[in-house]
Amino acid sequence: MKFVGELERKEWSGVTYVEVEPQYWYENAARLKDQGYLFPTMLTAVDWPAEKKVQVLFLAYRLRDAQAVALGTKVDRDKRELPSLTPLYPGVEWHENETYEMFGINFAGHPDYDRWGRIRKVLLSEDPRLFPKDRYPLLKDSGGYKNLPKVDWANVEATDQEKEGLYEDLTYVYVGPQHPATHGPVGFLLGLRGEVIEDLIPRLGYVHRGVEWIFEQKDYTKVIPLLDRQCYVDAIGWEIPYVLALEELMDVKVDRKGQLLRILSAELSRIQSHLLYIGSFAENVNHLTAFAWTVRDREVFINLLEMLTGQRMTFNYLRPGGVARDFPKNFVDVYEKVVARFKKHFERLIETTLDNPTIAMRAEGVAKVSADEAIKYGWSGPNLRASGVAWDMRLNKPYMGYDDGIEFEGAIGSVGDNLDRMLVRFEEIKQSLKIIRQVLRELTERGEQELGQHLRRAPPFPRKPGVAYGYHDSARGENGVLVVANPSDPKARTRPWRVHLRSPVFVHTMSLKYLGRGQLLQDFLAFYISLDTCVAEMDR
Amino acid sequence: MFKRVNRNLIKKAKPVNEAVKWARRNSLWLLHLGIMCCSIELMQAGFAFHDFERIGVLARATPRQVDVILVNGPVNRKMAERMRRLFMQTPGPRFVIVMGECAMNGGPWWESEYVLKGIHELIESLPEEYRKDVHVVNLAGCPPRPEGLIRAILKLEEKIHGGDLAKAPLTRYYLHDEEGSKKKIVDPMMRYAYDNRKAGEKK
Ligand code: SF4
Repeated sequence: MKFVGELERKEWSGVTYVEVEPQYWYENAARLKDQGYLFPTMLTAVDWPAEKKVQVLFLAYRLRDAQAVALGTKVDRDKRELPSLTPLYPGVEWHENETYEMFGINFAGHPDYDRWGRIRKVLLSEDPRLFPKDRYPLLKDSGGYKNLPKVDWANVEATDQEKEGLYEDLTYVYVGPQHPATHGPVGFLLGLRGEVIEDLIPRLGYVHRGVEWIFEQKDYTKVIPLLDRQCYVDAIGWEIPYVLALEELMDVKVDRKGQLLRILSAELSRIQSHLLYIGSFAENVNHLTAFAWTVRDREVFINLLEMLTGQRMTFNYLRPGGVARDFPKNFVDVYEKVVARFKKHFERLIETTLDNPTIAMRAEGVAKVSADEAIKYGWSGPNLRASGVAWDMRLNKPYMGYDDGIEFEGAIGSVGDNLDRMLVRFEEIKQSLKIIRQVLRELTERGEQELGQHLRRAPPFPRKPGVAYGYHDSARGENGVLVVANPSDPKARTRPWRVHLRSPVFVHTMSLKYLGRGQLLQDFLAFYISLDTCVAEMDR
Repeated sequence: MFKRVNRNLIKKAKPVNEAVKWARRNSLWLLHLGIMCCSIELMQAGFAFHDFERIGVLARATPRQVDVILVNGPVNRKMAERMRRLFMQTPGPRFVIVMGECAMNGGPWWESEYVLKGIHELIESLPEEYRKDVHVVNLAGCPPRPEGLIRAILKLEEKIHGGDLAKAPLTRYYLHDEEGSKKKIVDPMMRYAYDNRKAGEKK
C-alpha cells in the first residue's frame, strides 16, 4: 500500500506501522479508508520531549482479512495541531477528545468546535478550580497529576454543571452519577422532547484517576495489579493484553501450559462477567429473579478463580513468561462437581429469562444497531457480534494459543437489538464452558508437568526500545494495551514510557452520543445497560 | 408565681431511646451507590451465600431514605462535590462505612492527587451540624471480601448498640451434620456443590 510523505515503515505486534509527515495526515487516513480499513480501533499519542515531538498513532483494522495498519506522525511539541479524522472515521471522535485533554493536541475540525467552540474534556474536570486548565497531564514535563491546586470543598459548587451548548427548546434531564441503573458513577445529560431523547451528552470522569500517568511512575511488573482494577468484573481481560505486549518487548515465550492456564482463567472470568451482565440487564427491566440467580452462580466461578489464582476479583495472575501460580491439584474434581449443577441452573435461567414477557418487551427490537453503525463507531466484542459482524479476535486474529487445537464457535446475532446482545452472551457462556472442558482435558493429559518459563526468571523489564500492542477479546470487547518502552531515558529504564489502554467500554458509551438519540427515555437506560459497562476502565 | 417547666425531663425517657437504638441497628439501609471494584463485592454480599438482608440491610437508591453511606471506591475531584451533596442529603445520624483502601486513603491510586486522600477530607468539610453526627466504620482491603462487609455492618450495629455484638455468629455458615446434632462450618462453595438435603433438590 502506498502512502504520501512516508518516512518510516515498521512491524510490531502484527501491525504495519507507517510514519508519515503531519501535513499528509488526513490524506493518508483517506487512503487507508479506501483500502477497506473501516474499523477505527484507537487513536492516541506518545510524548518524546528529547526530540521535541509528540507522536500521534491511529490504528485501524480491515475486518475481512484481519489486517492492521497503524498510521503515525510526529507533530511539533510547541505547535500541536492536526486535522481531525472524524469526517472519515466518526469513531475516532472520543479518542481525539481524550488525546486533546491528555496531550493538548488540537484536532482542527473536531465536531465539538461546532457546538462549544473548543474540544471538550471528557475525562478530566473542566473546572479550573479542580484541574488547571492548560495542563495536559501526559506531557512529560507538565507535572502530571501532582501539585494540583488545593480545593476547599465547603466552598466549591457546580463543578460539573453544563452551561453552554444546550438547545433552548429541549428539556434537559441529568441522569447520574448516582443512579441505580448506571452501574457506577456515569452521568448523561439528556435533552428531551416529550419522552424522546433528541440530544445526549455523556458525562464521564467520575472515577478518573489518571492511571496512564500512574503506570509511568511504576515498574513494569507493578502495573499488573493495577490493571486488574480497570475492569474489576473481567479483570483477567486487562492483564492479558498488557502481558502479551510486554512479552513481545522482552522477547519472552510462554510454554503451552502457561497458555492453557491463561485461557482457562480468561474463560472462567468471561463466564462470570457475562452472568453479571445478564443479571444486571434483567434487573434493570424488572426481572430481579435472574439477578439473584446470576449472582449466586457467579459466586461459583469467582470461587473457582480464587482456587486458581488466589484472589476473588483482582487476580494479579499473569506474569511475563507465564502465570503466578501452578495449577491446583483438585481443580478438575471441584470444577466437574460445581459445573454439573451450574448447567442445570443455567438452563433454568435461560428458560425464565426468555419466557418473561417483560424481557420480550424491553429487549426485542429495542435499540437496533446495524452492522455498519457498529463498525463505524468502533464497537467490538459481543456488542459488535450481536449486530451480525463475525469478528471475534480469538478466531479472526488468534493470540495466546487460542488457535492451537481449541475448538469453539463465535456467537453472532442478526439485528443487533437488546435481545441479540443478551443471546450472544448466553451462547458465549456455553462456548466458554466448551473451551474450558478442552483446556482441562489437555492440562490433565499433561499431568504434573513443570510449569513454564516464569519459574526461570524472566527479565523484569525490556532492554530495547520498542512499541507493542497487545489485545484480548474480553467479555466487553477488544481490550487493547499499547506499551512503549524507552530504556535509554534514565527515568524510564525500569518503567514503561507510555501505556495506553484502549477501552471498549469507553467507545461504546461515548458512541451513545449519536446512537442514543431518537430513543425513548426508558429504552435508553435498557440500551445503555445492554452494552455492558465497567466504569473504571471507561474513565481510567 | 410561675414555675418554668423542666425541658430536660424529656431526655430521661430511656426506654424510647433503647427502642430507637434497637430499631435502628436492626434495619440499616444502605445507599445504592457503586463507585468501583468494591461495589461488586457489595453486590455479592447482598445476595445468595452472604445475603445481608438477613441482618436487616437493604439498598435504597435515594439518599433521603438511607442510614448508611457506603463509600466503595476512589472519590476523585469531579465526584467529590456530588459525594458531599449525598452526605448532606442523608438524614442524620449519618453512618458511613468506608469500604476499601481507595476510600480510606487513596489506595492504589495514591500517586495521583486527582483522587482524594480518603473520604475524611470530605467529611471534614461538612458544616458543623452535619459533621457532628457522622459515624464512621473503616473496612480495609482491596477489595474486602463480602464477609468483611458483613463484619463491618455488625461493627456498626455494635457501635449503635453501645455494647458487644462480636459474638453474633452471622458471618459463618453452620450446617447440621448428617447425625443432626453437631454443627459444622461449611464452605459456601461446597454447599453449592453438595447440599441436596432439601427435598425439592434431590436428583
Ligand atoms: S479499594 Fe481496591 S478494590 Fe476497592 S475500589 Fe479501590 S482499587 Fe477497587
